[in-house]
Amino acid sequence: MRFRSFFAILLFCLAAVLAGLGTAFYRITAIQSSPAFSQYGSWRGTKDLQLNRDDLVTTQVTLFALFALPSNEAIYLFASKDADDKLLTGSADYILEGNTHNIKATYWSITAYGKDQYLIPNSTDRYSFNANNMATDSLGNFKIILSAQQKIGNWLPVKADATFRLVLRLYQGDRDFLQHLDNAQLPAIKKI
Amino acid sequence: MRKIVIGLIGFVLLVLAIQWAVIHYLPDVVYKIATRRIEHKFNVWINAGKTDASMRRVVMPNPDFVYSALFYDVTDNNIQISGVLPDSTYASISFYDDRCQPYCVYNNLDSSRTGKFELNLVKNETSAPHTVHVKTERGVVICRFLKSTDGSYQQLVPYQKMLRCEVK
Repeated sequence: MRFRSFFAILLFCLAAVLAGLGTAFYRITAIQSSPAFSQYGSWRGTKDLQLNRDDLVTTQVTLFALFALPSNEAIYLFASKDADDKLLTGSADYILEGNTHNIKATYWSITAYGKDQYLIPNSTDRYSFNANNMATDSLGNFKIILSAQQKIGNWLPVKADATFRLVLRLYQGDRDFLQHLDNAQLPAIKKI
Repeated sequence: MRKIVIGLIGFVLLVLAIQWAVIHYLPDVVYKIATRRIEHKFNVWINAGKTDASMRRVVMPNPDFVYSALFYDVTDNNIQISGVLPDSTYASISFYDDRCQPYCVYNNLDSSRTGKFELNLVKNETSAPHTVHVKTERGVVICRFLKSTDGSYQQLVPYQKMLRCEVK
């Protein structure tokens, strides 16, 4: 009898631990749908990262963007879906169109990451584009092609048949630009 | 019936407590893992190589940057870090606590015209210039140097080598 009640308590605690770990894992990994982040066109992120003020956001950032800079220094915007709300995948090609003059920050860049959160290996050593290393027209318009197959122009390689995500980093953003980020004309991601 | 209700409430409370503990303490665990990876070598600059797909130490690195990191420890003594920020669009030195959370950033807008910087990391609150009041006795400093062109990694290596840490 005593053994049975001990076993029942042990099972009860084990179930609670598993449920606790499982729900914690679920909440941490649900970063894409976190209410702490807003949608800015194709991009999702926040102008005011609640580090050390919101436990969940703090842990999410620690795990998925370790050693990120605070919001007053840099803003990180993520995109894992195209304009049709479909996951970005290397089995399709995408075009990312924008204008350098519409992104008002001291320095900004667009980087592709694999599902594992690391840079995507490729033969050209190309992982990102910024205002200094991409081809634009005389008005500052640019097009970046996201594809697993080599393309001419601003080609950002991704892994074939695997999902990926993009990060738009804005360092020392213009205050007015950041205040009106909701209306900013950020690069749009469209499936070709 | 009463036993079942009490059991259920206990179960939910236990689940919530474990969930809270995991979410709250994970950053502490990440910092501890990081210090174990550097074999507890504090107050020594670690210069990362070229940021490319082979870099697997930190998730989502910015390939435009060349990184250097210093795990600091001011438990017994204050320290001074110094170096030169390259003349580029952007460079910064950011300070993180022992939960990997940022609390201070010094960037190229704050540095002198020559880019030289000397920052004292101190435990006690002070308003002295060029001083960073550390939030926790142990933490991390990260230097970010921006490459001006795709192939300019080698040009930034001397700046990594100029980084110093002196125990005061």
